[in-house]
Amino acid sequence: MRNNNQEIAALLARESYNSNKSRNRILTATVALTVMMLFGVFSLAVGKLETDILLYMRNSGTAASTTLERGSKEQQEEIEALPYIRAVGSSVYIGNTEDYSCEVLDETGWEKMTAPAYSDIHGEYPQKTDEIMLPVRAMEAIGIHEPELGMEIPAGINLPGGEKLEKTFILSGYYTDYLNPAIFRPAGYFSQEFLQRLSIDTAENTTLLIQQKDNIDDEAIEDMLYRDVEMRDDSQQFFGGISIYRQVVYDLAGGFDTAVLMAGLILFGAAMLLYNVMYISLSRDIRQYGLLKTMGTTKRQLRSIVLRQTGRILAGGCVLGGAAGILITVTVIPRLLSGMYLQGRGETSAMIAFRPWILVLAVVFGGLVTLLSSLWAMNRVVKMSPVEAVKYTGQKEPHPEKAGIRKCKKTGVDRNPKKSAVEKSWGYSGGIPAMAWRNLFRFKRRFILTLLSLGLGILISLGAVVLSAGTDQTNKINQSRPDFMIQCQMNTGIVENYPADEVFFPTELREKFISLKGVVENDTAWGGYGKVDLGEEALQVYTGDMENRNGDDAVVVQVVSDQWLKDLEKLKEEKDLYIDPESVRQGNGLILLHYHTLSRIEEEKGKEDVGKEFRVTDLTGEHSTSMKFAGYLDYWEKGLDRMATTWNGGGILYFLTSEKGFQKLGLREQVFRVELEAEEEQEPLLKAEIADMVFRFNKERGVMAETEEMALNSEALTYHAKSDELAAARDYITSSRIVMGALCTLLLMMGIANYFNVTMTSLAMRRRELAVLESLGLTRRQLRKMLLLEGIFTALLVTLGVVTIGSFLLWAEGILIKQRLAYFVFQYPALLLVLCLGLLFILCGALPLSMYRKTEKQPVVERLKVME
Amino acid sequence: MEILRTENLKKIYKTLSGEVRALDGVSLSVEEGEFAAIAGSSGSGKTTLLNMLGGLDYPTSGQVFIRGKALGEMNTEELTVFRRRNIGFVFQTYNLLPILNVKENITLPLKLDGRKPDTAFLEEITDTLKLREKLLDMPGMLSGGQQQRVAIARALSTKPAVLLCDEPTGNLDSRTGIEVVGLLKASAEAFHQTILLVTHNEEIAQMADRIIRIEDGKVR
Amino acid sequence: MFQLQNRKEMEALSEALEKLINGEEPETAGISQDTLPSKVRSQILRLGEIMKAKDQALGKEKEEIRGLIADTAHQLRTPLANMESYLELLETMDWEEKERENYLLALRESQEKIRFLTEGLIKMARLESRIIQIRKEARDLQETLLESILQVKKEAEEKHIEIRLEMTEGEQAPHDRQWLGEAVYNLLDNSVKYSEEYGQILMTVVRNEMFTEIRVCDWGRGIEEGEENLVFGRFYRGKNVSGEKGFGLGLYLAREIVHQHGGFLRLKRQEPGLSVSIYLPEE
Repeated sequence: MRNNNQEIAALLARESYNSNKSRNRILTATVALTVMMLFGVFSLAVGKLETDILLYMRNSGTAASTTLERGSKEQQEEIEALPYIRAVGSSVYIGNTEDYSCEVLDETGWEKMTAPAYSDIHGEYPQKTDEIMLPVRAMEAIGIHEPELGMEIPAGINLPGGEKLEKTFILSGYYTDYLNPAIFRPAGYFSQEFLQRLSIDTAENTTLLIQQKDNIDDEAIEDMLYRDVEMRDDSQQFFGGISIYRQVVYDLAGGFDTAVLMAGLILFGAAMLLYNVMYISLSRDIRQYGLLKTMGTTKRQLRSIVLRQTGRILAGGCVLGGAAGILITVTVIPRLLSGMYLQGRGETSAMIAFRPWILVLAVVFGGLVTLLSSLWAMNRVVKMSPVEAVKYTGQKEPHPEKAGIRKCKKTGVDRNPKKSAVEKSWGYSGGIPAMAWRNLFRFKRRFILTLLSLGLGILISLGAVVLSAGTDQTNKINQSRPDFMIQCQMNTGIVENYPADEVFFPTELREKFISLKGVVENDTAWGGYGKVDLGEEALQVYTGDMENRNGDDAVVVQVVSDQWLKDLEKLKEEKDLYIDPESVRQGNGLILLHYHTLSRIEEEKGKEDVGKEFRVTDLTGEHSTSMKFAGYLDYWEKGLDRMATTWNGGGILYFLTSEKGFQKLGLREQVFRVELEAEEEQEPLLKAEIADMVFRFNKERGVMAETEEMALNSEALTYHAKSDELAAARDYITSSRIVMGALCTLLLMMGIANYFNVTMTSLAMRRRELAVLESLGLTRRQLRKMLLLEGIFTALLVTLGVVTIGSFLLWAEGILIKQRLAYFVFQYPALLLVLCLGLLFILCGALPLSMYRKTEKQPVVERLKVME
Repeated sequence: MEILRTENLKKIYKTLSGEVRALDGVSLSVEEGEFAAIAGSSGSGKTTLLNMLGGLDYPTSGQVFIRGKALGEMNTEELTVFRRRNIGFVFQTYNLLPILNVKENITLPLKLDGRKPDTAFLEEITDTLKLREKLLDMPGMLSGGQQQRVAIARALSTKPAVLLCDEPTGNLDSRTGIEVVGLLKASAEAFHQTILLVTHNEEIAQMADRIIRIEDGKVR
Repeated sequence: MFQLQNRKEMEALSEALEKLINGEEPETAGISQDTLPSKVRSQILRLGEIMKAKDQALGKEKEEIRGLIADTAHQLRTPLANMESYLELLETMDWEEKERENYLLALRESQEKIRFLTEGLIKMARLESRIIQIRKEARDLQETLLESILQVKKEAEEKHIEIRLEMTEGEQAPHDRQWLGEAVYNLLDNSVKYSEEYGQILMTVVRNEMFTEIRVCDWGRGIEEGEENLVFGRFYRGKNVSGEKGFGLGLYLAREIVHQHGGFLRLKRQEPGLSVSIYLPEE
C-alpha cells in the first residue's frame, strides 16, 4: 500500500515549474525544435521518396519491376507462391487498333501493377464483355474530347491471329497516362469476359507482371526466378528489374543501409540535443534535489517531481513543434515549390503532403528521449550522498597534474632554476588566454558534449549536402548522356531500300562536328551494313526466334576497339560468358550483340555454335566473306560498359568486329553515331551550330525530319543535346534541391540549437563565478576577452575536428555511395564548410559576449548572491 | 536507553595536498532524551560528524547506529525514509527551498510523509520564533536570522526522535539564541527527543546536559 | 491479491498496537519504507516511546512524592517529638523560671524548624505550579547580592567565615530582586554550612556576551564526585553533610528560581570546595 504522500510531489513539481520560467522556455523551445525538425526532415524525405516512386511508375507505365513473357497460368501461381515475390499480375495482349493497343489485365495486374501509374481514373476497369477503358490521349486521337462514362466507342481490333474484329464498346472508365508518346502506344483495356469469348492462345500472349521484395536486385531476381520456376521452353525469358522502392531509396541515399544510417544519425543528433539540454538544465536543479533528499524525499518522489515537470514541458513543446512543423510543410514549402511540374507528370507539392504518422513518430521519439534523459540525469542526483548533492556546483576538482604546475616533460630538468619551487607551483602562466583555455576543460563532460554536438551538427548537414548534391538528377543525366549526340536514324530494316553504296553519315561531316570549337572529346560508333542468310546454322538460336526465317536479311556490323575486346576477354573470364573475343580481335570472328533478346537457355545453346562459320555479304551482293561465329553477347550484361550503338532490336542481327575483321569484310564504311563532349561555356553556341548543320544536311538530302517521329525510320540525322534533357528535368531538379536544402538547413539548426543551449546555461551557471572574478579585480574588459577567447578556442577545436575527421568521414561516405550509385558524384562541400565554420566562429564568439552583456548590468553584489 | 552510537567513525578526503582526516576514529554514545552539545573550533569535524549521524554523508569506515539500526546497512530508500521519520536536521546554511514559502518550507518534511501538520503546535513554535507575520513570504525575502529560524521550525515540525542542529544560533542575537535553545529543550522534553547541537559558542554549549569536545577529528 | 495483502498489513499493525496496550515493546522492523503501513508502524513505535517516557517520568514523580512525604514525615518527626517531650515536661512539673525558659526556647526552636520546613514546601509547591510569577526588572545587582549576604551574615560571623563580593559597580541585570535574592541566599547558606571555620567565600559577578554569571565559591567540604547533578534534587543531602541542618531544598529551589529567570545553574567541584554559578540571560 503506497504511502499517502502524493500531494507533495505535485506541489513541488508545480512550484519548481513556476519558478523556472527561463529554463522552461529553453526546454520547451528545444523540444519544439526537435519535433519540428524530425517531422520536417522525415516528411520531406518520405515525400521525396513517394514522389520519385510516382515518377518512376508513371514513366514506365507500370509498378511491376520484373516481367515474364508468354507466361502461363500455372507459372503465375508458382511465382505467386514464392516467398520473395510480393505480387503477380497478368496482361494479355489481344491485338491493337490503329490508335491504341488492346490488353486485358487481371485484378492484380490492374490494381497493383498498372493503376498506380495512371492518374485521374474515372469509372471502373471493364467487367462486362462490351466494356472498354481508354486513356484520354487515345480518345483524343479518335476525336473524343469530352469523355463520358457509358458512351459508345466503336473499335476495330486486329487480333494476333490476323483476324479483325469490329465491335462497339461502352466506355466503363478512362484515365490519364504519362508515357512517352514517341515510344509507347496508348493502351486500351478490356474485360476478362471479353477475353474468354476470343479464341486466342492466352498463354502465348500473356506477360506476367511481377513485383519482388525490395531487397533483391535485378540480377539476383532473374537468377532466383530461373531457379525456382520452370520455363515453358527455351526462349521464354524473365526480364528482371529493380523494385521501385529500392530504386528510389538508392536514389535518395545510396541504399537502404545508408538510408538507415542517415536516419539513425539524424535521430542520434536529435536525441543528443535533447539529452544535452535536459542534462544541463537538470544540473542546475541538482542542488535543489539534493536538498529535497536531505529532507527525506525518496527516489520515487523525486522521479515524480521531475516527470511531472518534464511532462508539462513536453506537452508544450510537442504541440508547438508539431504546429510549427505542420505549418512549414503545408504552407511554406508548397509556396516555394508552387507552379513546378514534374516534367508534366503532376505537381511537386505531392512531395510535401502532411503525413500524420510521421508527426506522431516525431512526437513519440521526442517525448521518449526527453523523459529518458530527464530520468537518467536525475539518477545522478540519487546516486550522490545528500551532502554532496547540496554542495553540487557542476565543477570537479582539477586533476592534480594539470593544475598549473609546470613540469618539463622532455628532460626532467628544471628549465627555470632561478624560480623557486614555491614560485613555480604558484605561477599561473599565460594570463587571460590561458585562463580561457583552462576554463574550457573544467567541465569536461559538458565540453566534450558541446564539441560533439557542434561538430556533429555541422557534419550531418555537410553529409546531407554531399548526399543530395551527389545524387542530384543532374549527375544522373550527366553520366549517362554525352553533351551532344548526333545519330543517323538508318537501320537494317530500310537500308536495302537505298543504293548499296550510299553513305548516310559522311565522314567529312563527322570531321566537321569533331573539329567544332569547344569540342574536347568525341566517340564514334561506326561500321557498316551487310547481308546474311537467315538460314545459317551458326545463327540458328537467334534466327529461330525471328518471324521470317527465309532469305537474306540486312545486318549491322559495328567495329569495336582492341582494348574493348581485351576488357571483354576479362569479363568473359569473370562471368564465364560463351563468347570468343580473341577470334574477333584477330579478325576472324563476329560476336552477335543482342538486347536481352535471348533467354539463358538459349545463350547456353549458342555456346555450341561458337566457331561455326557463316558468310557475310556486302550490300551490293558482290563481296562475301566467311567469318566465324563468336558467340552471343547481351548488351545489358552486368559489368559491360555501355557502348554507343545504332538501332538494335529483336529483329536485327547486330555484329561486333575488330578493325582487322572489318577490313576483311570490305563493307562500306558508315558512321552510325557521334558523341561529343564540350566545354561548358561553348555548349550553347555549339548546340546552335550542330542544330544548324543537321538541319541543313537533312534539307540537302531532302529528308523530312521535323519531328522525332518523322525522323525515325529514315536516313535523317538527328541530334540530342544533354542540355535539353537537363532543361526538361529542371523543375524536378530544382524542387528536389529545395527539398534537400530545407532538410539540410533543419539539420544545421539542430547543431546550432544545441550550442545555443549549452552556452546559455553554462553562462548562467557561471554568473556567480564571473561576479566573484570581477569583485576580485578582473575588469569587464578582461572578462569579455576571456569569454570571447573561450568561444574562439571552442570554435577552433571544432574546426580541427571537422576538417580532419569530418573530411575523412565525408570522403568515406562518398566512396560508399559511389559503389552503389554509378552516377554519384562526390563533391567536397568546401564552400559550405567555410560558410558553416564562419558561422560557427561568429556564434562562438558573439553568443557568450551578448549573454554576458545582459548580466553585466546587475551590480556585483546582486550577482554574488547565491540565487538558487 | 542508548539511542545513538558511533563506532570508530572515520571520514577521509583525498585532496590536492594529500589526505584530510575530517573524522579520525570517533566513538560515542548518546542516551535517549539527552541534550548533548558538540563543541570544537572551525574545521574540527563537528559538521562532518553531524552529517554522519544524520545519514547525510557516508563514512569512510566505521558505523553509526540509531536505535540499534546500522545506518550503513540501510539502502538509500530506507535511509531516506528513516531520516524523514526520525531525524530533524537544522543546517548551518539553513538550506530552505527557494521555491516554497515559509509555511510550506516548515511543513515540507511532514508532507513528504503524508502527515497532517499539528496546527496548534506549529502556531506555538512559529510564535516563539517570531515568524508569525512571515509565513507567506519567500525565503529570498528573509534575512539570515529569519531563515535560520525557519530552518529550526522545520526541524521541530515533525517531532522527530532525534534533533541534529548545526550552529542553530549562529546568526541570531544572544537573547534569541537562548530562547531558541530553550525552545529546543522544551520540545525535547514534551516529545521525548534527543538533541545533539553543534556549536563553537561556549555559553550555548553550557546549556546542554553534556558537552562532547571534538578537535582534529577526534573526541577529546 | 491486493485485498489479501492489505488485510495482512492491517493485522500486523493491529498486533503492534496490541503489544503497546499490553505494555510491551513493539517490533522495530519495517519502519523505513515509504508505504502507509510502514509509516503507521513507525508512528506506533514513536507513540510507544513517548508513552514509555511519560510513564517513567510519572513513575519518577510518584517516587519523588513518596520520598517527599516520607522525608517530610521523617523531618517533622524529630522536632515534633521534641515539642511533645518539652510540652509534657512543661505540663507535668513545676519548673524554675530558668529551666522553664530553656524548655520554651527548645519548643520555639522546634516550631521554627517545622515552620521552616513547611514554608520551604509551600514555596516549592507554589513555584512549581507557577502560582508565583517571577517579575524581572532591571535592577542594581549589587544591591540584591548585598542583601543576600546580609541575610547570611549572622551565621557566617558565628563561624568566622569571610564573605567577599567582587563585581563592578553599578551592574544592572534584569531579575526579580526578591526571588533571585533568595536563590543567592540559598547558595551562600550552603557555602557557609559546609565551610570550615575561618573559611572564605568568594562571590564574583562576570558579564558575558550572553549571560551574567554570579559565582559563589567556597573552600569547604564540597561534594563527592558524581553528585553534581544529584545535589539539585529535592531533599537531597550530600554525602558530606554529616550533622549539618538542612532539608536538601536549597539548591532545588535556587535552580527553579534561576530557570524561571530563563537562566541556569552550574556547579563545579573544586578540590577543596565547590563553585556554583548562576547564569542570568541578557535581555
